[in-house]
Amino acid sequence: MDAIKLSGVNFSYARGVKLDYVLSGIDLAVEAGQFLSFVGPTGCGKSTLLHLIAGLSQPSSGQLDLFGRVCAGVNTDCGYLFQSDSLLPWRTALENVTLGLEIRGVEKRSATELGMVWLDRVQLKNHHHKFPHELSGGMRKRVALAQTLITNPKILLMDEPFSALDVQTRSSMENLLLDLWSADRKTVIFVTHDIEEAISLSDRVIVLSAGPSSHPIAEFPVLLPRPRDVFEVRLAPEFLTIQREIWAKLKQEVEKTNARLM
Amino acid sequence: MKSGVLLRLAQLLLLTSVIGAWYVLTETEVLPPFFFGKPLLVFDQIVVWFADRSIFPHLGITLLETLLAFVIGTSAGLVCGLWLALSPLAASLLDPYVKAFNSMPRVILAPIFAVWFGLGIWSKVFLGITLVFFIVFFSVFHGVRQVNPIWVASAKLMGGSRFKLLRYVYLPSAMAWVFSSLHAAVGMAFVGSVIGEYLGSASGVGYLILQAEGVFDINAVLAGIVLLTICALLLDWVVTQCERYFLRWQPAASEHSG
Ligand SMILES: Nc1ncnc2c1ncn2[C@@H]1O[C@H](COP(=O)(O)OP(=O)(O)O)[C@@H](O)[C@H]1O
Ligand SMILES: [Mg+2]
Repeated sequence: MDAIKLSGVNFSYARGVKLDYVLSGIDLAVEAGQFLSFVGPTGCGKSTLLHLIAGLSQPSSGQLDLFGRVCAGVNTDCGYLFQSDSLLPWRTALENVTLGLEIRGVEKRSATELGMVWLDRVQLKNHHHKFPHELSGGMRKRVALAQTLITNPKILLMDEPFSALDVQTRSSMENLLLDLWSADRKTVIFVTHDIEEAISLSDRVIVLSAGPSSHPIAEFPVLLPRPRDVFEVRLAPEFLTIQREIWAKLKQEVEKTNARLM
Repeated sequence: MKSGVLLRLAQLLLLTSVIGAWYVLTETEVLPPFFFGKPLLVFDQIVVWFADRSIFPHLGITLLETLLAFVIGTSAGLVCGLWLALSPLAASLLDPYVKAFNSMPRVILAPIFAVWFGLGIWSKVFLGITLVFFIVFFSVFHGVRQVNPIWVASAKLMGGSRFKLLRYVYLPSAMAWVFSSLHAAVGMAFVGSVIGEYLGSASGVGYLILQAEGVFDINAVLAGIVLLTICALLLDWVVTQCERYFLRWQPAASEHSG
């Protein structure tokens, strides 16, 4: 059974007779446990696609199934790591991590205990009492990651989560993500505009066409062995081959986007 | 640190020189003391009030009115602000009435409240409420409408129902806006009680000032004003302390200096 299945999905932000589709004709199946990345030019609809899978917006037509069940409404099976900051500024790091547990009615003491375990996993145990504004960008992302994973979602949606970080922080976050993921192999949909990041993390990379009416135009299996280290994997010859193939596809779409924006 | 001390000294110097000038000008009768009072007599009046304890019931009444107006007005503003921000239908229905009430000079309600609620504390409390309510209401209303949609989406994905969203996202962010309007709200509550007393009452510092005015005792009028100012400063200090504690999660750059 597929973890995620989109069949004939179209989506438009406008409602009415004449629809400009942001996404159109999306057919996609993702096996449980797969790490899938989407790459595509800016504004093609990557964030929109994740919103659809999370059930934060509904397809204009077509159908979304999660684990064989039709979805209509917010999908609480999904953990979502947003591109921009999603931490509540009035809660400490620990309180932010345990937010999902509190909302689900977990008793305070066990929530705190589990929260500390997760803060330890993202190496922030000593910062549990700090408020978001007292943490660096990389630390906030790690808190957000712990916050998303603590409720043990079956599907993890990540929207360019590391794009705002500097290169070193970014690589260590990518390694941390792979570590945490390898523990229980959740289904991951990872959106990025960085081809290298997509290849080094994923089992499968899909290229989206330029918008409007964006849809998948090519997909590439990534068969590099795991466990991977995001530094070392970039030196493998297969890596460079895939990177060149993906870039050949993506380049045309980026040029179309640029031409449209001019 | 050093420049802070210097600043305080300069501020103190400014105050003393203004009072000094007042003293000299009224002693030499350049300014007629009948209209301008004398600083020492004003000070004497305050000492007398505290020495014979006659001031305490008045001060107590004024502070009680202020406190009631502040607490009730703030809570009502918070609840209504949240409600209208989360219910666009109610907001668009009530919009013109809210605007009308807010732009009305509410001091003219004082005589009506005196008729409705009598000359006791409640007519003043209600006047204060009408002043406090709108400050907190608008602050919360606009604040909650600007709540980061990502916080809401994220709490929904964690399984948050409407009630949970209110408790974990909307209410805490509304509280932040309440605190940002608290200085103005306390000031307004105070204005409401004093004006209410001034326009008709049998006790309170506003009443005391009115009495003194009736017998042209300018020193007692000024003493009352000084007392009110000191009370307002104290209330403001209390608010600042609360703010420091409850808004400690905010970055220091946006912290109030005071
Ligand atoms: N809330 C919205 N209302 C209307 N249009 C939107 C909204 N969000 C995004 N769009 C449009 O949809 C397209 C896809 O946006 P998005 O999914 O954010 O792209 P990406 O994440 O790939 O950069 C863009 O053209 C954008 O302008
Ligand atoms: Mg995006």
